[in-house]
Amino acid sequence: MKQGIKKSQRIFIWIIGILFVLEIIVLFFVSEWEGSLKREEPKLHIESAQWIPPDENIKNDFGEIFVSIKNRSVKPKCNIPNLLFMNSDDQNAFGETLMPNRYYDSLSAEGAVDYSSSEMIPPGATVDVHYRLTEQDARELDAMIRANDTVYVRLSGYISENKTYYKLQMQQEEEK
Amino acid sequence: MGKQRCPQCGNKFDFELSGWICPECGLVILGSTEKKVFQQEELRKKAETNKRNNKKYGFKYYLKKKFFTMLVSVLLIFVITLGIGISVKVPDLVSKQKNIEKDALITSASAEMGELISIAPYTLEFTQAFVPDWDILPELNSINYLAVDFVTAGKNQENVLSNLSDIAWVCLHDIEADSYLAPQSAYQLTGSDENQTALYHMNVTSELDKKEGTLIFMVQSPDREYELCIFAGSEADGYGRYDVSINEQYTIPIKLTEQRAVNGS
Repeated sequence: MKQGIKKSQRIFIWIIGILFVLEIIVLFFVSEWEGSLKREEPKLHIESAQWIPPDENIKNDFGEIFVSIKNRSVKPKCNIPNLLFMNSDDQNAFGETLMPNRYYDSLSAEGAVDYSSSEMIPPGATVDVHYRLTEQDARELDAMIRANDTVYVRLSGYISENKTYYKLQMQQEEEK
Repeated sequence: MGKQRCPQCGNKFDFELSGWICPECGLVILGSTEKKVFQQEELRKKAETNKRNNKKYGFKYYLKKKFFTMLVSVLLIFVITLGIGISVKVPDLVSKQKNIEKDALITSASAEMGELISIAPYTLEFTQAFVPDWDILPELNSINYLAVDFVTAGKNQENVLSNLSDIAWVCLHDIEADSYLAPQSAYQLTGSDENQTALYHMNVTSELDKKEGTLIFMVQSPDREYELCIFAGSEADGYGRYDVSINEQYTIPIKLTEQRAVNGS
């Protein structure tokens, strides 16, 4: 009888010990999860993407890509993100990066201070962003069109909603 | 030597008196048997001594047992507390994860300059918007300044840690450029410590963290059409000013008034 009680006591202590260790492990993963949610970047969605050819009357104009970006999350995105264009929708495909025309570009050029983080995409807002092509970008884009006839655009992976690619078209974009 | 038990039949008799022969069974107590009997006797004595020692060291034993019980109790409390903590935290995180994944549901409303906006438990009012012509602001070729005065009330006291900036923030929408601009802090606006302090004393701030304050935006031209966007939520997930999960938006069209003097009059 006494031995039976001692045995059940020992089992009880073992169960508490194992539970304690398991809870510590779960707590570690829960804190990691909480941390990742706090660091979570707002997810942006490309509503439309259109290539605007260069204006022949303007010198050194190589065209631009005009993109409507919507912030679908509850937090703002500070800093207008770069755009990637590539000829494949493969996740590992190499893309060319385009810098946006930012509101404070002229101011940043004037002084040493970078004010680009003062421009934002608030929650629920859609903004139209112009990505001007350089001569080299225009060459790369032309090569992609000649090789594949299709060019995909997307935002940087960690802010792009579901890492979706968009077909870049002259008139209308279509979601892949 | 006294009476001892016969190792064979258990009869008690004095070995010496009976000449080392058991009167009951007739067993001759030989050397080895004597040794066995002696060992049994020694074991009995040892057991008695142990019993006495146990009584002597009982308190130490009790303490050891008590410590062990305490350890188990503490462990049990930890396990229960952690269990409750985890079971409360996980559903909260799941709902936050779902909120991040789904589209933001933001209710929009429009307001006017001078209108009292209620963002419970606070109230907010933008009193005037003007182009500041202040010498302490650095002159820039490509950028102009646009200032907006505000007053807040509610649980917004300087000696209390919480204030409106914990659940709301403001940006300026340049409609023509379709750009949303954050207000600049005194530090971002000026290069010198002296001017920074002067701006600070003039209640220039980049957040809704004062009872009376002035937000300064850097704009490409003051002649454009602007609207002030106020974003409010219920709680902040992090520590930054933009960590509030937004569910309300107020839009106020900017109407510029006359230049306000540096002293605030």
